[in-house]
Amino acid sequence: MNQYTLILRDDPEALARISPSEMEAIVARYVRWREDNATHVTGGEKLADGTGLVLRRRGGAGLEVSDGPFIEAKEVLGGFFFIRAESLGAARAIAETCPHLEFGSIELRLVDPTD
Amino acid sequence: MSADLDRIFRQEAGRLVPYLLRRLGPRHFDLAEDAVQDAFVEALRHWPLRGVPDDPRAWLLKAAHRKALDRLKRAATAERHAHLLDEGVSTLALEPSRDLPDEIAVLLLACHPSLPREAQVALALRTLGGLSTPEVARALLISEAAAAQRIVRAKREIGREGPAPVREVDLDARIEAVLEVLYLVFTEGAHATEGDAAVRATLVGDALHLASLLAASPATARPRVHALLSLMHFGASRLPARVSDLGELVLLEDQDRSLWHAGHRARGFHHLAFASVGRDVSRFHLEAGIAATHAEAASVSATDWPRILSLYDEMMARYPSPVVALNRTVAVLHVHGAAAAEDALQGARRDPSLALYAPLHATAATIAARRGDREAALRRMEQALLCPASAPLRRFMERKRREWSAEGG
Repeated sequence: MNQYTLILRDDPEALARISPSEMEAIVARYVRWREDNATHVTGGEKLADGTGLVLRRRGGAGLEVSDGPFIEAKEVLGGFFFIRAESLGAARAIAETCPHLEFGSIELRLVDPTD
Repeated sequence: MSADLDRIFRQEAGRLVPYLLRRLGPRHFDLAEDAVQDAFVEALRHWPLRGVPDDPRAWLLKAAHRKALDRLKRAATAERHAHLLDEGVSTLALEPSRDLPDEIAVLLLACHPSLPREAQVALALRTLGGLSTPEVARALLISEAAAAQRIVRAKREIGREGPAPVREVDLDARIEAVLEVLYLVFTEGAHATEGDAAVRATLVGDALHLASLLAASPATARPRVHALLSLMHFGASRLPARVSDLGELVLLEDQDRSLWHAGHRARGFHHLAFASVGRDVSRFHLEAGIAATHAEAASVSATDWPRILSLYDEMMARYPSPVVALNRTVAVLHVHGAAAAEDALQGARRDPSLALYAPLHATAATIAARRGDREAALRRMEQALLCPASAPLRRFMERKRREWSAEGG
């Protein structure tokens, strides 16, 4: 069994247009998604909005700190799901049905096994 | 997460927007709506990852509160306005001594006399029904642009007025407007055979909910409020029998009355009793009386049609309208027969406002059939089929036409 991370990015514009009725539908789909994949989805974390710093060390100029997060792309990193699956293919099958895709993108990454 | 989340966002939209609006004042319609939308987005991003909170409504309220403050700060008016979000401070509409639910205060605000009825309905659906503009458009069977225009105009009018206390004498007129709006919303919802069925069905619940709040608040309760509520409950009780499993329209005389919802029926009678206090005889009183007479009867033939006819006579005396005249002819048919019904029909048939009203021609066709004039019946049903009608109504009329054609041999 491998551990995978689903890195969730939001498209703020997509979120702004969703009506309350559509949101209810999405939440309902999340309920089903969590239930259907209960043995695989081991956890999730949400990153707080509006906080954060970006730190860089630039050559000899010392530490550069600016307000984060990176918002060059339209998508803001919102949080993570952690899942257990046999293979990337199996993990992908679970990620494909995640309702987050209604309003953002998912980056699926294998967590490097410790051995 | 549990199934309790069903409809929670739409219901909370209808509660949280009035909550914020009441505290911020009518100039901040958009800010209130945006703050609530922000809170929902927060929930949508937060709950799947962290789990649904034990008290989702309280979570949403806090989030909406926070988002409203965020937006106020960003609008650089926090100094003047932030204090308005303190619990219990109401800057809207009525004097603070009146204990009104936020939804009713905002509904009274939305039914401002300077707004045309259609704008009042659109604004009420959006602000209190938690419907998005496209959903309002679908509910009212108008274009999205038309719906948006009505809503924007309504907000602008009301924002211009500012928070003014509604005096006692104006309150009656305002409540009257609210009752008209709720009646329209209920009627739109009850014709669930047209448009997006899901959206329109929830309107029935919205109308009942808001009318119930009106009836439960001492400041706004009136006999006619109970009359409207009674009428709505009777209407709601009959809905399960109105449309067959196959989506076909079922006429009153063919409805399986065992399908009528007992709970709504009982509430219909309950509120009718409260409506009967005092001497008020509003349009809603008379319509509730008619609905109750149907509700009491085990079948169409067992119905007290003379009582219904006398109620329609009173409606024609006090609140005449072409549609009332038309509905009265059905009562005449049952009490005095088809020839008398044909006479009663003439006024309605000549009214230009009913020229494209399918039920007029369909009723005229039915009366002709009862008189044994099959040719007239067919002609009138052809006319009915030229009018706009929902798909189930159209299918019903086609079926009748085929039946009468076949009888001719």
